[in-house]
Amino acid sequence: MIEFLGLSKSFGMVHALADVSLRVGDGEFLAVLGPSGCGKSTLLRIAGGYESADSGRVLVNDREVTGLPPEARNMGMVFQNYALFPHMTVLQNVEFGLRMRKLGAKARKEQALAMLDAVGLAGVDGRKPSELSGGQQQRVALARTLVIQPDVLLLDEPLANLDRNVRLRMRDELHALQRRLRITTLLVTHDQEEALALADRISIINAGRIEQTGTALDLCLRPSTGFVSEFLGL
Amino acid sequence: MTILARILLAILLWPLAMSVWVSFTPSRYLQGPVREWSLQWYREFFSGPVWMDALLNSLGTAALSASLSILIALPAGLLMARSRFRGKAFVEGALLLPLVLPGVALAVGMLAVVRSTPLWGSQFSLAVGHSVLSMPVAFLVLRATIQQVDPALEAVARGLGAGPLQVFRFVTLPLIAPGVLASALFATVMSLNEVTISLFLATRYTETLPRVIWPNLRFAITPLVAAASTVLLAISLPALIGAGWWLRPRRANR
Amino acid sequence: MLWLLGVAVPLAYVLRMSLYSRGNVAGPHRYDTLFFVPGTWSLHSFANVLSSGFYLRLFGFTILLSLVVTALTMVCGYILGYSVYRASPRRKIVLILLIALPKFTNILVFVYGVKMIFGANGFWPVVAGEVLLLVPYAALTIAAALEAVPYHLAEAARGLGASASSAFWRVTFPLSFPGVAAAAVLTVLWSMSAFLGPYLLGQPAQYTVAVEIDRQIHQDLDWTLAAALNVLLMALLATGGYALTAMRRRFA
Repeated sequence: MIEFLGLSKSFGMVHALADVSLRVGDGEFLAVLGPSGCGKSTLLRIAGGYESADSGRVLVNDREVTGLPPEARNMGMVFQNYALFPHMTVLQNVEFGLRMRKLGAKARKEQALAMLDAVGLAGVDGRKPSELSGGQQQRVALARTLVIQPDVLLLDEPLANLDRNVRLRMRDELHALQRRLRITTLLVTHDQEEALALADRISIINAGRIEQTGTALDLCLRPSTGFVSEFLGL
Repeated sequence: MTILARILLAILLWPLAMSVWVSFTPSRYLQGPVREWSLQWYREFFSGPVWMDALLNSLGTAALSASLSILIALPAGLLMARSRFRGKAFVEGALLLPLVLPGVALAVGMLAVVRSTPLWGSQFSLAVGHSVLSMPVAFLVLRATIQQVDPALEAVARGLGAGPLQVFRFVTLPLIAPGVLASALFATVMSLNEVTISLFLATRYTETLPRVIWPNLRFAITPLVAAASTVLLAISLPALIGAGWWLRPRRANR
Repeated sequence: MLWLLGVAVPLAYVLRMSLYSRGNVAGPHRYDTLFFVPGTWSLHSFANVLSSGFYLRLFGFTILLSLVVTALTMVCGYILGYSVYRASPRRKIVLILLIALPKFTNILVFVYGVKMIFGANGFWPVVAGEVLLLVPYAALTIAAALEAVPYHLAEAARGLGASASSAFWRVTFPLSFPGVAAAAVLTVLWSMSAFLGPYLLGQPAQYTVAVEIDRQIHQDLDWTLAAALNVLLMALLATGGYALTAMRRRFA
């Protein structure tokens, strides 16, 4: 579970976030949906500890993480461009988090290979990231994040860099994986279709404010503001 | 334009070629070998204790000053590439200042400062002097290299549990290693060939090779000087090509 | 730290040194002799420099040399920079390496070669030496500036009926001008502190301020005078650099 309480953040004169409160329950998949520049990426960066809010708090499983650096939060962030370490093999990439946790070499390798298997990437562990296709790189990034068993999975436009066919397949796999692991997930995207297909609940954000949060059905049947209905294309 | 450029390039490299060529002469005078080539000047160089001492001194000073240079330029490059702070432009200007300062001005100042300290005549003071000149170059190379590293890689590593030092050790450093090596080589070559500061700071005990060549060049020109210069070139050139090789443009990392 | 030790302290020291009085230099010199009297304040060395026709001519010659050298360097640098700009990627790297080569080889090898080519010392050997020493910087700076100018702009101009030369003068050159100006400012500054070229390739008539500083330090042993010359040279560089940069801003 992750909870934001009254987050505000401004860059100079621009209010990236204005008093945002949001709660993602245990095992829930929540998508934050909004146009580019609406503040959704800032929200994710604050959740991961890469940016500090001007005011407000972040709680993970009722533990205060507001001032903690990223390495002390146990969250898994997947970046839009995957950010795979180019100088390491696929296996070394996936092992990285375990290595930082001082796990023995044998246990490390076992867990990493099991996770690569789980994302459907058995047999490529010795390759370098640059030798993989976009979809494969995406899976490595997911495996690398999931293997540390993060409290929360943070996804920043994870499918935006993929071709349409691959994107649809990855979307389904991501959905199945999240259901199977029951991991609390926060997705940030500008793509309504993606949000609708993946998320249990959707939060629509505009100019740093949350316009409405609810299930896909709620939003479509009872849009609370003009922006929501317009953005969903109703 | 191209033909003109070729001619210019030839002129630019001509003096270099000339002194290499002359170093193989059998004659006592400054003339190129015509019919027969000779290594006599090299024999004289490698058997002269003054020259060999100077060569060793040069190499030692170069190694020391390159290390100093990297030691300063690496943190400076990280700071300037990765963080924003007030007065950043001023710090950058200060770091690059030695590039535009007259070498003689720096040398005179260092001479006066060093003379009043116990460092006078030490190899260390000479190495510091050289690294003042090579540090800005190392800084420029390192900053450019660090800027090519995707900040998301460092962010991901933090998220996976690595502290700032571990991020540097396991992610940043391996990725910028070519830049570090290249700038170390640049700094080495710059120190090996540095004249002005050595002229002011070197003493009888810390004479570098260019410092020994110097009086010969002014007063008693023999092909021995050409041979000594060619030896320097033979050390510098592979280092330079190595640096260029490590810095060559590569396929972008995804 | 190193910066403080290697740059700031020495420069401050030069400034302070220029304000000492000279004192007595007769008698045996120990290895740590400082050729001035610590703790004194005096404008004597500045008065010396500014009242002497010799030193004023010295500064005049230094500026003149710098202008001649800069003009030639810019022309040669542009030609080389342009050929880098138009070369194929593979040849580009080779060209850059060849142009940078003299910069990373011993300056003495270089000067030695120039000396052999000219045979005697004099004004033109000095100019040639300095131009050759500075051309690599200028060429690479200009090449970098040209890199930012898309070549298809010149091609578009030709498509609109411009001749090759007018496409160059009306499109490529003006767009590369900011970089050229930056290179020119740097070249002026560097050539004004010319030391090795005039020292090794010149006769006394071609000595520059920097050479005179060295002479005062190592032969005449008047360190305060050397420091004063240094301060004046740096003041000249600072004003020159400032004025040229301001001019560049107005035109670019």
